[in-house]
Parts: sequence; structure tokens; C-alpha cells
Amino acid sequence: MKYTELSIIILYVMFCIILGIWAQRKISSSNAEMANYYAAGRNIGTVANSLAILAALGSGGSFMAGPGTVWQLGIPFLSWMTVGSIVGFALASILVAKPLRNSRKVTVTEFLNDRYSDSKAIKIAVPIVIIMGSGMYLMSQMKAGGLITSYVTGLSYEWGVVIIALVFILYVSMGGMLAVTWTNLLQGLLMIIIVLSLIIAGIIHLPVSWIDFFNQATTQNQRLGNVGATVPVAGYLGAFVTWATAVSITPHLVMRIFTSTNSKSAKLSLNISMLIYGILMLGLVFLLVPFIGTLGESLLQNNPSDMWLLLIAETFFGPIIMGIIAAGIMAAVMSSTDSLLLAISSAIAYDLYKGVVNTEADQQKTLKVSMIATWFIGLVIMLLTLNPPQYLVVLYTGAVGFMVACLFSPMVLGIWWKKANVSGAVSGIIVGGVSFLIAFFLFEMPYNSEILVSLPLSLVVTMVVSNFTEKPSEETLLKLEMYHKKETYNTSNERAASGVSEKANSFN
Amino acid sequence: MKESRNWFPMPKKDAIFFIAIVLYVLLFFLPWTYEIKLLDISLVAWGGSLLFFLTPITGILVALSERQDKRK
Repeated sequence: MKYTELSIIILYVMFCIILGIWAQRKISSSNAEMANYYAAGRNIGTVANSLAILAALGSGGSFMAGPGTVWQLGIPFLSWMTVGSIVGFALASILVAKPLRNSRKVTVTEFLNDRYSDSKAIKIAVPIVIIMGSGMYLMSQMKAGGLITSYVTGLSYEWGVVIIALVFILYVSMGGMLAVTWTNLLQGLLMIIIVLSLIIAGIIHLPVSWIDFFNQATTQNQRLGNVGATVPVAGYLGAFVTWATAVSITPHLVMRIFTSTNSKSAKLSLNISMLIYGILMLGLVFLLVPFIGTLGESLLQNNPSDMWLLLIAETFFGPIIMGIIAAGIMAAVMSSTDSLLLAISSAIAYDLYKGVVNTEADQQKTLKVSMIATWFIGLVIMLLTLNPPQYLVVLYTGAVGFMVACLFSPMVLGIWWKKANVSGAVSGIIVGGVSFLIAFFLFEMPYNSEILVSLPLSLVVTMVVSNFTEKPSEETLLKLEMYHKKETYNTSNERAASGVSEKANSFN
Repeated sequence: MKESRNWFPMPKKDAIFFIAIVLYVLLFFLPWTYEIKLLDISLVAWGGSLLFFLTPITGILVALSERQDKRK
């Protein structure tokens, strides 16, 4: 057992739990519980939100597994896959940030319900897509959490998963988005410090000049720089399109738009976080990946590629810094896991329960269902993660692609195209989802390229069906027009809480 | 930007930014980038890497140039 590393991680996790308890007390004493729980009171400033977005995206997958995956799949594939999410945040800031933030809705489903006139089909289909997609995504994060817990405790992978899953569930169920936002802030800061320390240590430990070292690595591993050596070019484009479009519809990332103070702050924080993320990822790829070549063939074969970053770090640092690094990687895993868990619980409690099953449910009842849903889903995913599917990375990217194929057309066309209607949106969801599943399971397509078929199909079907069916109501279009212009308030309480006079917001 | 009957207008700077991203990606995905190499790494990879900086910096500049409704 690595006692120093373990003590640092325990201290860090305890801090997160205390923060959860504090957030729960704050929510209980607040008049606007629901907005606090799911949108952190819509009061998170630009810098804080940037760090929270960085933490939500910079998952265990990207930071912990990044260097190892680059070594195996090559820089061309990884650079386009990673830049997909960076471009995705810029696209989200252009395509969805302003109308979503201005609508003052709490979840992706709520916004789509509002746009498509509370259609029952949308109310049921969207949360189910979100639960399926985010659930698969969550599994990969819990696996990373299990691996790191097992690394510091010396316990088995299974015990690692159980311990870490219980911690995650505990504090998400207590504090909701407010807890997640404040812990994400801390996690974002920790991630920046740790990746920068690794990069600086990499520079200090360079055995020869960087150019010579990098050349040695590309000579040793020919796949590193060649196009098509590991994945066909269609796979690069597919991975890029998947992530570039995913940000606009992935609930745990979109929820960060809802938490910001206003639409400009939302746009700024999306881009600032990505600039930091880009610098950190490029540093990891170009400075630390060449060190993998120095680890030796036997060490690489005896450890999963997700652990190679830690093996490099062990050659630079002693136990105290390694403990902080392990806590930082745990922070990366934790921040994505808690955001995903919250997105799933909100899909169940807020969208399915309050939206369909019991529309009269009060806030307290909905929050209770949310807490139960967090525990139930968290435990189910934990049990599935104990025996993860063999090709988890393929499945989880597939899960994100599935969400994009279903939801991107109704969301983006719904915001920008006045003719988009319920029939078109439902057809787009069905055709996108079904064509993606057929391409994924029945055809031998290059890795990640299914989206190149299903997304255009979904867009075309949404447009064709909408074009030949009834136009949306004038009321819906007027409402959308307002979302494109300024923030709206649905109730007088919301308006009063934000300090805007009745006159200033005449639409409602 | 001129209002269309069927589409909500997109701010001009956002529209240019959007089109620029699409053109940049298309340019670097064309086969001419596959065999050109710098430090033994294909130009297509360098194109992706450059975008790590270009996109967020442009996004920040576009957002900063936007007028914000002061009301929260």
C-alpha cells in the first residue's frame, strides 16, 4: 500500500464530502432549491465556470490515458479527436450557448420540451437517450477511478471501484450542482497545477535536446506520426465530428452553460477553459509521450496504457508529489463522474418523473426522487463497471456518438430553423439513433466513423419531415426569438430574484 | 445580418468564425497534408494541433467583442 499517496487522496475526498454537506445546507436554506441543485443558482462567474468546465471535460480519460493512447494510436488520430472537443466548445458557444442560457431552463430535455411544445414523445425519448449515453460514459470514468484507487491502496480493482463509486454517489446525492461546481473548481485548479508540474519535470528531465528526444520516439514508434497507421482517416474525421458536435448536446457539459451568470460569461468560460485544456494536452503529448519509449518493453506490457502516465511520473517524483498527482488524476475522474451522475439523475427525476410521471410533484419530492435516482443509477453502473465490457473505449465513444446522432439535429435546428417541429424532431431522433446503432453493430466501419452517416441522415430527415408537416406555433417562434435576444423569466419569482422589473421583460 | 424568413439570424462574427472552422478542417483533411512531415509527424496532425490554440483564442475575441445585456 502506498501510504503517503493514500493519505493525500483520503484528505482530498473528505474535503469533497464536507463541501457536499455544506452545499446541501445552503440548498435547504434557499428559496430557489431547484435552480440551486441543477444550475448552481445560475450564479457562477466566468473564471470559476472556466475551471469547472475544464474539470468536467478533462476527465480521467483525457489526462490519465492521453499519453498512453497517443503512443498506441498515433498523434494524427489523437490530435483530431482531442481538438474535436475544443472546437466543440467553440461551436457550442456559437450554436447553443446564448439561447440555452437565455431560456433559463434547467436541463437539455427541459429546453427541448419547451421548443417542441411539451410533446410527450420528446419528453420520454430525450431523457432515455441521455440516460443510455451518459451511463456508458460514466462506466469508463468509474473504471479509471477504480484503477487509481487500486494503484494507491494495493486493493483489487473491484474494491477500488466499490470504494470510489460510493464516495462519488454520496456527495453528488447530497449537494447537486452546487457541490459539483465548487468541487470541480478545486479539481480544475489541481489539474492545471499537476499537469504543469509534469510538463516542467519533463523539461528538466529531458535526456537530450527536445527535438532529438522527439525524433528518437518517432523512430522507435513509427505509428506516432504516420497517417492511417492505426486508424483510417475516416476514423479521424468521425472522432473529430463526434466530439465537435457532442459538446452542444452532452448534458453534463451543457449544464455548465446553465450555471453561468449570463450568456457572454457562458461563451467566454467555454473558450477560456478550452484554451487551458489545449495547452495542457499539447504539453502532455509533445513533452511526455517521448518518455514512454524509455520505460522499457516489459513495463509497458505489464501495465495498462492508462497507467503509463503514472509510471513516467514515478521516474520524476517521490511519494508526496506522487500522492498529489494521484489525487489530481482522481480529481479529473471525480469531476467528470459527478457531473455525469448528476446529468443522469436530473434526466430521471426532473425530466421523466416531474415531466411525465408526476407533473404535480413539488420541489422537495423531485429532489427526493433525484437523490434516490443518483443512488440507484450509481450502484447499477458500479456493478456493471466491476466487469466492464472488453472494448470500453469503443463503447463509450459510441455512446457519445449515439447521443449526437439522436439529439444534435433537434437541438441545433430547433434553435436556428423556424420550421423545425415536433414531427421532424422525433423523426430525426429515431432515424439518427437507429441508423447509428445499425452502423455500429451490423457494419464493419472504421472506428468512430458511424456518425458520418447517421448525423447527416438525422439532419436531412428532421428538415424534410418538418418541411412537410405543420409549422410550429407563433407563440413558440416568438419565445425562441426572445431566447436569441435576451434572457427571459418564466415566473414573477424568477424575475424578482434576478432584480429585473416587470417592464424590462415584457415578453412573459 | 439580414433576417431570413425561415432562419434566426446569426451574428456576423459568429457566422464567419463558424465557416472558418469548417474550411480549416476541410483544408487539413484533404490528402495533400498526409505525406508532408515535420519532425516525422504528418502535417494533418500539426493542423489539428494548431487548432488547439486558434479556436479558443478566436472564440474569446469574438465573445469579448459582443455587447452584453447588462441585466442578469
